[in-house]
Amino acid sequence: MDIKKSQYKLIVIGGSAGSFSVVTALLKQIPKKFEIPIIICMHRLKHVRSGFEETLSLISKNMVTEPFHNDVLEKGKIYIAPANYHLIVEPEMTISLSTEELVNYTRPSIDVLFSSAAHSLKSSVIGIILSGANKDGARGLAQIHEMGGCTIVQDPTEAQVSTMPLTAIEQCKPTFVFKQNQIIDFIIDVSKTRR
Amino acid sequence: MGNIIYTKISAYQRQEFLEKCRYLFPEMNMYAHSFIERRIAYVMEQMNIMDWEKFMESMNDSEFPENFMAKFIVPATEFFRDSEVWKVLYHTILPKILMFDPCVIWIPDCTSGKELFSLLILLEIMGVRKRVSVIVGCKSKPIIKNIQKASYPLHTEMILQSNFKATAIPFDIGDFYHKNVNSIVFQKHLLETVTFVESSSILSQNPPNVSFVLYRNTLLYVSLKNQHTFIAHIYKNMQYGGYLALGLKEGKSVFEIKTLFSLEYPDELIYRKK
Repeated sequence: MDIKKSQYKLIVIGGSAGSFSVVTALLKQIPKKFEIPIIICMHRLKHVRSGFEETLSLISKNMVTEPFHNDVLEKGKIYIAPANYHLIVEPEMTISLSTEELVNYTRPSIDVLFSSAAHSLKSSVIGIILSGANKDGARGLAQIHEMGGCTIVQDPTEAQVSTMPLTAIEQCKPTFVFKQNQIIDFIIDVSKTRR
Repeated sequence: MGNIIYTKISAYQRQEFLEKCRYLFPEMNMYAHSFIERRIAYVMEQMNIMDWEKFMESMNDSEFPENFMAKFIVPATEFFRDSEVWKVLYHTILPKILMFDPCVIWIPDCTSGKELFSLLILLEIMGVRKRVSVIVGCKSKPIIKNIQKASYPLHTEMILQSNFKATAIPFDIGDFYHKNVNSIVFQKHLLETVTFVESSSILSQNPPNVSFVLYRNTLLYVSLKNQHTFIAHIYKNMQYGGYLALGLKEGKSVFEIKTLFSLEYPDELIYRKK
């Protein structure tokens, strides 16, 4: 696949069991004033709201935030899907939140985030699936792929729990299967092309 | 969204739908376009209609309005959703609003009754339920009838129990319902002081002297322009010093809230009328 790294406007990342360490490594290494907004959707206990955003804020050089409905996506910010809300990317680069029905038994659902990003921003999206114990995110990643976006799956041999990466590879045939360090290098490299 | 991950009808189809339902659902224009587009796709899936032309034809059926609206609205997701909010209501807000005379609580857009029963249970535990009038707006008669049955699927009991436990209110929630084979049924006397109003829009409801408005996770689906209008309408119907509870992630972009209300409980998004 021909990768034009300057085409990307948004990075969406989904993970579940075993993905937290990858996310923290990523946030630690991403440079300040990162050029592309990043949205992270991780499965978490819905009634535990405090601590997550704060923990990630401590390790990130960029602002980490749980967005409000109608917030505008801005570069230099890392957005965390709030517990018990679906996060939807709108075409005008805004965020909608929703309490609509669970998808894949979960809310927020990675599939909802990825699919909405694919519908709204077409080929301008990078979708990344990390370690996880269920199948959420695979269909959404396939939609990013169909729309011409870049799709990356964490190498299942490295992932703490391989179900989510394996399902994504099966359903999507991703652009890249990367180890953690390769994912981080790729993201940093993409951001550099936008300066 | 059910098992559908994310599908939308096109902007053209949305417009065609809005034109056709101008008289059927005059309130449809209040919703955000993107919400209408994905929700209609969801309803089509639920009605097992994949073809747009067939969906448009189905709108001519006499039963369409009721069937459509039952699926289109987003039901409140849980009893005692966001337990910290209910904790603040129990310990702080409800005792304060009892000072109002009359004491009127307004739930303008009730879809499943789960927030209503959560509220009524708190009032009952406090021993003040009979002193409070609760006005509840619902989109249709079937929704009102469903809520009046006070019956919910058995699987909702687990969330009810765990969310209530998280409020740390020292009471056995099991005292308020009994179990059947497939359901839990709340005590119907809880509804004694509730007045149901069939209403397609908050704007057609004008309950007087409201002291507290429970309006959580509804603005999420409304266009920004209407979010402003609805907040102003709530303000108009409230007593001075009354309280407004919104969902934890909504309302930030509504300018009226900042000018008309003060944010008294930022973590729980509970406002007070200035």
